[in-house]
Amino acid sequence: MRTSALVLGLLAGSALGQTVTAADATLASRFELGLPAEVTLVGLTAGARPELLFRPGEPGSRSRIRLAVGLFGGPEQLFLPVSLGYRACFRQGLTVQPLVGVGVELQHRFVADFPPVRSFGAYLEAGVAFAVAPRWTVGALLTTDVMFVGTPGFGFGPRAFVTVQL
Amino acid sequence: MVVRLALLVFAVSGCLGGPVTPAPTCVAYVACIQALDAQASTTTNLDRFVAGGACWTNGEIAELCATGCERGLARLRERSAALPEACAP
Amino acid sequence: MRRLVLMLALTMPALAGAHTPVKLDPKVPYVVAAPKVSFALYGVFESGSEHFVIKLSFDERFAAPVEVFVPHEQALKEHRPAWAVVGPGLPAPNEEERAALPAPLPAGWGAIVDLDTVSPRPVFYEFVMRRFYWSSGAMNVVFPKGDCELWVFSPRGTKGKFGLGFGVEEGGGYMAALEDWSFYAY
Repeated sequence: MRTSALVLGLLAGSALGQTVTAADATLASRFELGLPAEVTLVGLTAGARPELLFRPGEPGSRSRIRLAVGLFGGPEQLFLPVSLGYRACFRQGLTVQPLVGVGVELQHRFVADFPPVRSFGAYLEAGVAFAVAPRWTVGALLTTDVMFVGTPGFGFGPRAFVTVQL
Repeated sequence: MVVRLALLVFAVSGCLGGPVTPAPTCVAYVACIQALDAQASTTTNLDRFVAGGACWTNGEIAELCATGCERGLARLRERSAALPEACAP
Repeated sequence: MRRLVLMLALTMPALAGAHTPVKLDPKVPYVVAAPKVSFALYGVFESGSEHFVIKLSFDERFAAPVEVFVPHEQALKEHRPAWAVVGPGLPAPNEEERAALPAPLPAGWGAIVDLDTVSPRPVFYEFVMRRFYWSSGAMNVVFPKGDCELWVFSPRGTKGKFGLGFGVEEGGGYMAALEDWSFYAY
């Protein structure tokens, strides 16, 4: 009974995780599209930050190049960040996949009666993804940023995401 | 600790707009207040508005002070009779 | 005043107690311990009829900028709190200002009043909390030697949060912002 359960569990895990197929070898399969919903807690805004992840290495490798453009609205401002960075996704092929990332970010903040506030700096992110179906993951992470060029600032916030491998 | 370090980083970057020349509105404001003091035999602490004062450490504070001086001087001109010549527009 | 204080405070723990951001209580006058150092005080007009009193005492005549600011939110578009410096030796307010004051002036006291009517409304960005504010526009006031008061009131009866900024000399701590994050951040 226990052996059967263990075998079934392992089979389920491998079915949900990434398996290397011919499709993975195509260029398109190196891309993942993510749609995170996020809240910024310093300068309250909420919105979406769609991201494109590129896997430069072989299937199963942990490295991703990340490009993201967000649009957030809040009671006081409109916030538009553009990010370029690196993300490491661990335990590829398994259900629980920790991730960590770092990169640079250009931020714009808008209100109707003031010039746009621009900042450039770095971000850090850390969280976990769960493989819920072949090519699909959901997850959550915390992100923090420090802007040191232009208008300085420090921010952080939670992000929930859904990602699909193309 | 992380918060303090981060703020120190952008404290430096944010403040290194560098010293700013005193705004003309504050030069006029200081001259007017000093003339009023001479008239009334009083002294007023104007340290922040003179060259080297706290107003002129970076552009953002300078803008605040320039506005304060402009509106403060305008208020004096509107409401005070017999202002000294140094307070004239 | 707005930005330098917040920024330096968080890197200067020794001064953390000097100027923590204060939530004003309209029922209790707030006494400023070191008025020559810049400070920012915050409050909320719950009913629009509140009268906030800040007590100061100077050892010399002292000129500094004063401003009132509100969060840049659509709901607060018409919220324009006013401020007044009241004290002995100050000029008499005009009729409009006297009528707007929330309380009669003590005998022998004058007032410098700003009814927050500047248009277009000045805006500034506060980089620590990453917030935008509408300002009354800073105005220099010569505070008299001795005791005086700063009053903040809502002449139009509007409700909402406000901040009062004073001075430019670098001040002290804002660690209390972390203790009451939602009040100062949102």
